[in-house]
Amino acid sequence: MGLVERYVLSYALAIVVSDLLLMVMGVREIEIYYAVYLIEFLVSLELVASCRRSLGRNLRPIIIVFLLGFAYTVAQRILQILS
Amino acid sequence: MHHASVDVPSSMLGGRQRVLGVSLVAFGVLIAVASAVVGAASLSGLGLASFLIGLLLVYLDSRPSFAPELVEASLLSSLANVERIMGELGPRTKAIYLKTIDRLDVPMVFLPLEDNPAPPSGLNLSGEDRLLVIDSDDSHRTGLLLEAPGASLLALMEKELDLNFIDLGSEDFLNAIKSGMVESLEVAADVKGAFTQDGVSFRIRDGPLRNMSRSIARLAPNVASRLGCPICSVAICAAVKAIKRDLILEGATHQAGVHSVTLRFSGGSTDGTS
Repeated sequence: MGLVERYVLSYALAIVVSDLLLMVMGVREIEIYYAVYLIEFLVSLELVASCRRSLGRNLRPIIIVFLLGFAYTVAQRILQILS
Repeated sequence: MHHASVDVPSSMLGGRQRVLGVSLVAFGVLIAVASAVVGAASLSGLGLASFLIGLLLVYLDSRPSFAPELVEASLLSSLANVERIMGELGPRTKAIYLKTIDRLDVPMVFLPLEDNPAPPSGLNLSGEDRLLVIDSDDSHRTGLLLEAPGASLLALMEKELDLNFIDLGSEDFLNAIKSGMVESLEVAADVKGAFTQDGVSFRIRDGPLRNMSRSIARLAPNVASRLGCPICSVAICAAVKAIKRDLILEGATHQAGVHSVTLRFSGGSTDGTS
């Protein structure tokens, strides 16, 4: 199994485990899930990218999409609080 | 003369990865919608996880990837030409991988035209840019000066690892070579190296490019055994850069998916061991 496949598999495993943990803890806010997934994504990417710098560069568009998604959920929550 | 025959590329796994990615994205959206409808907020986390993994799979699949057969096909003709040059010009001498002085130097390999059992410890050819070096005063300096077959791979490996082997000591370079060849470039399944007083030896187990190694050993036997195939050569180039000494390639064998490379220090043994 290649580095990228191992990366995707370990990330999938990490977010499934954290999802179950958050569900057991009774967390209901989607932005918390999103924040945890995003942190896991960035940490696992940083671990893998030490061996392959090009992977970090290639995944930059995905990082931007994930960050925009996070910004959207946070903005939505702020608007909800303000209203 | 043999023509380079290459296997037909095997079917790519990319299609299946894309289907899985799209399915996960769709599943994630469905779960998110269902959780909103039934008011089960905790389920939306699962939907989001599925969505993100699906997105990642679809994106990674959209990146260009190449079959090992394509790499093999693009390489064989060039190596066959080097094989012909060596066959016509090169006698049965041992190649010397020349030390690099500057960080940006391209690793070069020198193949003397005259048999020379005891080359000098420092063969200074740094100013030369000719393919055929002829020095009537010094037979040690007469031979073929070639860019090492693994020089470009080494440059790529250094870029991926974000390091320069010239900065590494003789203690660290073996681990860096293994990490670079196995994890970064994925050109080998395993690399074992040993650094002794007399030289360095490598045992490299083939990875996805095993057919390429087999083809090179068959179609360009002189290149494979006397210069080293590109996979052997990348390890040798990295060693030369890290050790900062000329290394004589005593032999490189390619058998049953394993490359065995033995290198000796030019001009005698070294003080440091590991």
